[in-house]
Amino acid sequence: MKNGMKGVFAAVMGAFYLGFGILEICSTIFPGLAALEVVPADILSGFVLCVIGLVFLAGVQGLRAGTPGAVAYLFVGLLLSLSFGLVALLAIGAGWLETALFGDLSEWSGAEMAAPMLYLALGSVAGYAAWGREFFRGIARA
Amino acid sequence: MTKKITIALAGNPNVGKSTLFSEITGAQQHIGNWPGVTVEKKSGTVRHGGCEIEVVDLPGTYSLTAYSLDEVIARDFIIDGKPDVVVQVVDATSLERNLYLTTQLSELGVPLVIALNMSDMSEQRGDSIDRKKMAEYLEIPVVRTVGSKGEGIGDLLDAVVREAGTSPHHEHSIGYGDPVEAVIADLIEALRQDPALVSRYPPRWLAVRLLEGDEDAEKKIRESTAREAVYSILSDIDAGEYEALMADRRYEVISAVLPQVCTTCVREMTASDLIDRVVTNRYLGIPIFLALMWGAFELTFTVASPFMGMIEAVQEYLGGVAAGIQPEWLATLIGDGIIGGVGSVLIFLPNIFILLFLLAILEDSGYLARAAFVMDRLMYSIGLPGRSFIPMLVGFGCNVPAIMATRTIEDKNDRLITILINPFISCGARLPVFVLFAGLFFPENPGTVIFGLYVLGIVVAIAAAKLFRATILPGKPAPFLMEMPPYRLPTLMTSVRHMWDRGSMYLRKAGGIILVGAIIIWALAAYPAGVEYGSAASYAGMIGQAAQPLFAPLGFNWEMTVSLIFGFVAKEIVIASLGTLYGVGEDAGALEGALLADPMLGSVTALAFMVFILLYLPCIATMAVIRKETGSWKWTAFSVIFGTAVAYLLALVIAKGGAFIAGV
Repeated sequence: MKNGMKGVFAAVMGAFYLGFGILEICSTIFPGLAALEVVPADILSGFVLCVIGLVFLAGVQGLRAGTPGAVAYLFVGLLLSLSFGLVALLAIGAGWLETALFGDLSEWSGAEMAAPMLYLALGSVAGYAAWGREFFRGIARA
Repeated sequence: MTKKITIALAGNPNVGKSTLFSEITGAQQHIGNWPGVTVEKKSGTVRHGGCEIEVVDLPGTYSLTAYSLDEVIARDFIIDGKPDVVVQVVDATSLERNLYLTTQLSELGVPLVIALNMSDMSEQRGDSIDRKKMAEYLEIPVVRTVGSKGEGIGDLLDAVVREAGTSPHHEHSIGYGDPVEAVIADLIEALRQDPALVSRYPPRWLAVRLLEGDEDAEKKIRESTAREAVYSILSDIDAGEYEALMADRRYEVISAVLPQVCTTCVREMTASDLIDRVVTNRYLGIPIFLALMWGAFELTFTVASPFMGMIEAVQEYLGGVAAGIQPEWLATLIGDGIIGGVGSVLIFLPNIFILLFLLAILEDSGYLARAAFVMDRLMYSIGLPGRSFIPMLVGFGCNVPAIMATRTIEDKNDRLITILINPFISCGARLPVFVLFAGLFFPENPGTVIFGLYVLGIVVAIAAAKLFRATILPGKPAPFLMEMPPYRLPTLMTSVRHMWDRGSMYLRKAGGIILVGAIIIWALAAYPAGVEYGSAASYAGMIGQAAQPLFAPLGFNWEMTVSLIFGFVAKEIVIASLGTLYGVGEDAGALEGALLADPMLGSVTALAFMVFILLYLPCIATMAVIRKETGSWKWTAFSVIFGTAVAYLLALVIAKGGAFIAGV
């Protein structure tokens, strides 16, 4: 049951990351899609989202089947997701600081907060809260 | 009559082989060279059990392929020197890695004894190795030794004497699975057409070596009467695929034996193992590496931005103070020359320090060792050894220590290729140019453009390596063996210290060579007396205009041309000279304005300029270290000419391609 939960979590996270990654890449190719402003049009950021998505998805089958070590994909997926969430947060923080120091803070809209890299990482915070300690204990029960 | 026995001490590097050798032979040692090479050969004698034993210390090797000189020496001695017994010194704390060599020694069919060395350390950490069971599984006597304390030497020599008196010995073979075994059987059959060959070398061993694409084994076949039959079998198979398959099978056998003989050597998977399973994955490893690099560059650009603003503000303030200095020439020297020149480099210190800090975190965490492992497959496929990746990574900081780091590469051609391609790896000094131009001309995605430039540098380096390997520096790269340190949570202090060690050099450069360079450029821009500062009538203008026709096809104006010429001193001076030549010393933001206002500069020219900076001739310090490390002016000149030619060609393609697309 517990592994089933991990499998479902990895599948959902993987699907979201991969979906948003593809959307970001497509937005750079199709201007119409970019105009919708659902996600930023950034091919490399999209690539990173796809990589995280694929890491999550690579572990789904193994987690469901109870393959030893399959949990590694969930673990690394969470670490990557949180790391890149931090990258996005720091980038937004730096933008805010620059506006506060050299611009007009009232003009800072916080629109960058809508970056998928940031809000998708919130899901990983939940996953990490649930299983993070288990990973760091070094137990590889799938 | 005293019986004479010759034993060869074999084993991986750093397993305590030399210590054991000294313990066995005491003062009775002879040091010379192996025939035809300058590798040291140590031998010694000892009397034991009524026998006179000659001990020969072989070079440390991880395997018995013929990739390195050490491996060839060790293998040739075992085959041609025909020692009575081979003693493999095994590190008891690292059984899995050490037993790989055991599988290869077994295949040679030589009488073998295992000295389970460093047993005290293995016992201290709680490992429990059943030597009797191990000897049964491997069919090789196993003796406990602690070389550093001289423990187990008598037992080891007893086992050697016993083994030397036992005959005949049979080969211990690994079953490689039906498809591989079928090919091995065909090869053995073919090899038997040359009786002289099979009497000298164990046929199964030779067949296995041939299947693994061993060049030395192939050389033996070229002179054999079995040549045609062997070639006809080998022509149908992919040696690379077989080599990997057989190495996997050996590790499978080791993995099966280990849990039987050692109750604690096989650990549960740790967090390190879990991470490695994914980050070294055949398909995900490289994308994960690229993603992490993108993250580092994204942070380098975005997080540095407010700090750059702060430095800019200080620079503007100092420029204002300098403007009030008398006489006027001194004010322009300090304002335009020193503050404008040096300041325009200092402004990019946050970018450099952040990038170095992030690389320090990746290195301290243990990830970069994995990155080297992941890239090894790619490196090998392009004809470079995995070891080349470390100097390439160091090159992201500075090419000078990176080229010095190639000293770890043993093969001359491998090392030369790694040196020649290193200047294509974008060092930190080029980052300011990228940050300025990408920020100005690609404001939507500056991080992506900078990342793209770094990737381009790597791609060009790879393409150049492949070209060199295929033409002027042929050969096969040596395999890469590297131990993975466990992952560690990097501490802030350690990472900051590493960042400072590498980054402080830029501060020293700013106060030294860049300051001098900025003053020279200022003088060239301010004289002859009476000309407008930085104008076409100045000396700098004259130099730029004389050289500019060469760069006109690339769309570069004379100011950019001058900056490229001075960039040879140090790449940071490119920005310093642009700051001086555009006469914007007292207003840091004005360089950006001046560049944007320049009608010759658009996004295409900016991209061509960045690509040219990325690839053109190395800075003077890099050139000096290339000369020192290659010991050749010819290769130094080649590096300069080749790099500049590639830079010109690619910049031209971008300039013309961009103009063509814009025209369409």
